Amino acid sequence: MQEAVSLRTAKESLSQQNDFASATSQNRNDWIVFAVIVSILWSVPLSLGGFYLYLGLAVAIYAISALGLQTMVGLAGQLSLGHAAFMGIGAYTSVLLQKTLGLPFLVTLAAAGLTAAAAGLLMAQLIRLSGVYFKIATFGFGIVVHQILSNWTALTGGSAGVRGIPVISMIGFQVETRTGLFVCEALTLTLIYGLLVRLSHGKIGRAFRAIGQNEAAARSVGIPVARYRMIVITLGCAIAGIAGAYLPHLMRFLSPESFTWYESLTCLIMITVGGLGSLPGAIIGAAVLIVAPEYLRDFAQYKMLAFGVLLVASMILLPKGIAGAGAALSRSKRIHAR
Amino acid sequence: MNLSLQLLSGLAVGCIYSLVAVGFSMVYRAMGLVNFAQGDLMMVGAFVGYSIIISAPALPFWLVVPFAAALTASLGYVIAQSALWPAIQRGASQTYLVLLTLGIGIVLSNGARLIWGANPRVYPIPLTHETIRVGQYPVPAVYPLIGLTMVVLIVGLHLLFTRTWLGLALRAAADDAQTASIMGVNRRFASAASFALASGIGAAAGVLYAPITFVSADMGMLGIKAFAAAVLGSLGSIPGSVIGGLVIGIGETLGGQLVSSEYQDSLAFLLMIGILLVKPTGLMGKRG
Repeated sequence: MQEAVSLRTAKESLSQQNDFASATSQNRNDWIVFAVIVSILWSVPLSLGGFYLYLGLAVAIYAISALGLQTMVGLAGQLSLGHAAFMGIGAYTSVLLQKTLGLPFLVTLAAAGLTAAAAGLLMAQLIRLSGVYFKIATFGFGIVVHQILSNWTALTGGSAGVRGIPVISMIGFQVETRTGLFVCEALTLTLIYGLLVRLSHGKIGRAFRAIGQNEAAARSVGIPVARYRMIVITLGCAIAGIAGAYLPHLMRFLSPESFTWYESLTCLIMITVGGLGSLPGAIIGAAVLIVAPEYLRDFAQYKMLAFGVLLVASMILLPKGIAGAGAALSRSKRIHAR
Repeated sequence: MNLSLQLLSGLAVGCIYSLVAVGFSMVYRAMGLVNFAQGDLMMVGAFVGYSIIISAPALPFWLVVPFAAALTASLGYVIAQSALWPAIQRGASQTYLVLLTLGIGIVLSNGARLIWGANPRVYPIPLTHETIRVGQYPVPAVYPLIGLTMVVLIVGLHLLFTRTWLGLALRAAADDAQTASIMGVNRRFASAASFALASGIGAAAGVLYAPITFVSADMGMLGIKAFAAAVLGSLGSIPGSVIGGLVIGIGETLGGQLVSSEYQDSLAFLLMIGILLVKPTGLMGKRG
């Protein structure tokens, strides 16, 4: 018994000594993973084209959205049950500004992010509701937004949706092909992913993780928890808004049914299956959940059932998701190599 | 439509919310778990009731309720023992637990869709269409049954929790699991029993709600409004859940009438958020 204890303390002090070194090597690993994921993301859809390009377009949109949710839920532990609502806010803001005012896409994209951020900031005011209360409030927020989108017919066209989505135009270019749209999306995804990797290495990212692991402990070491929670919720929602702005251009149609509770749930399943807390995991999860149903069209009626089973199974068998399993595999290989 | 009639229907739906909310609250107190599958367990209960009615048409309706509740409770017991307990024992985070119960809810609602089909079902019993006269207005005949069941269940729960060994053991395990286990209360059993009890109450609510509308795999959404009710009345408090359910039921019916019925679901949550902002621990919450 005593031996076990002393062994554990020895291990702990050893790991503390290695902490600094491992932090820098962790940073390097993150950038290596970043490079791998981004290069796969760019090369596969563009080189294969056709249907793969369509899949790439869909994956990129949900990967952006999942990155936002991962930052909120996986890193900072702020569970949101209404993520799709913020995609919806972004989508409607962007398309309506394009249609009514004819603004260029870069402006409406920024507006989509800002409006979703504003809505996120509004929701973040509810963090004064503690723990469980806040989670149910985010669910309620999602329902309210969906009902407004479906019923404010004068503004959003109601449940009939918006048709005639304008072409993306920016800095003198007209993006008329799918390839062009993909380049826009992939650029956005690369940029956001890179910024989030950078952020997760810095002071803010460390604060997010500390809050995610233990709010009371984070507060005790002087992290202004309330402010950081507000920041991360606003950030996650803004990213969802940016992702949402691309959705109508992929579907050439916009309806409130793309932003239901089930969509919010799907986003949560993406980050859980990919691995809670892992940024590449969010992208992998989005890819799995978008691509798999496309190849299993014959079983479409079982889609949500399969998602549910996937969620429960991955939580019980792979608590760190696909990304965590991959990391563990590469680590064990390295140890064997030594 | 007449205001008092609206009030009655709000009260009836409110009772249903209350029952689901009581189950939600019990699980939260016993397991520290926000059970997002509670609504789906209610839905399963309603379908089980449907199957019982189909296979035994001679059985009186008031007997269908306990049978469906017992069957659903055993399903709840299995879920708690197999899926939830390992995660709780591991000390999994709140986010993890919420996602786990969400997953269980998806499996339940889509499993039900496979078993009972995607089309909504109507209970093939006379009670579905019968009405009784209250004053000069006709109201569905199931309303008094809903009210009666709710009173019986709440009184029964109160007696269970204050007068029986089982109830005291469940409360003890919920309040202080370690001390309770020293006194011989198996914490694992207590958690699963609370979860099963909550599932059974949810199922009873589902069977009673079915004659007012119909049964469908998406019925679990109604359960999520019951969460709003439980939260509004203070999580973990049974009287709070009852009051919360009635407030949401009446509030959304009257609000739907005054504002617009399209926004009925939103009203329930706005009501909850509004009350929580004023009183962060809910209506029956203690200060602090």
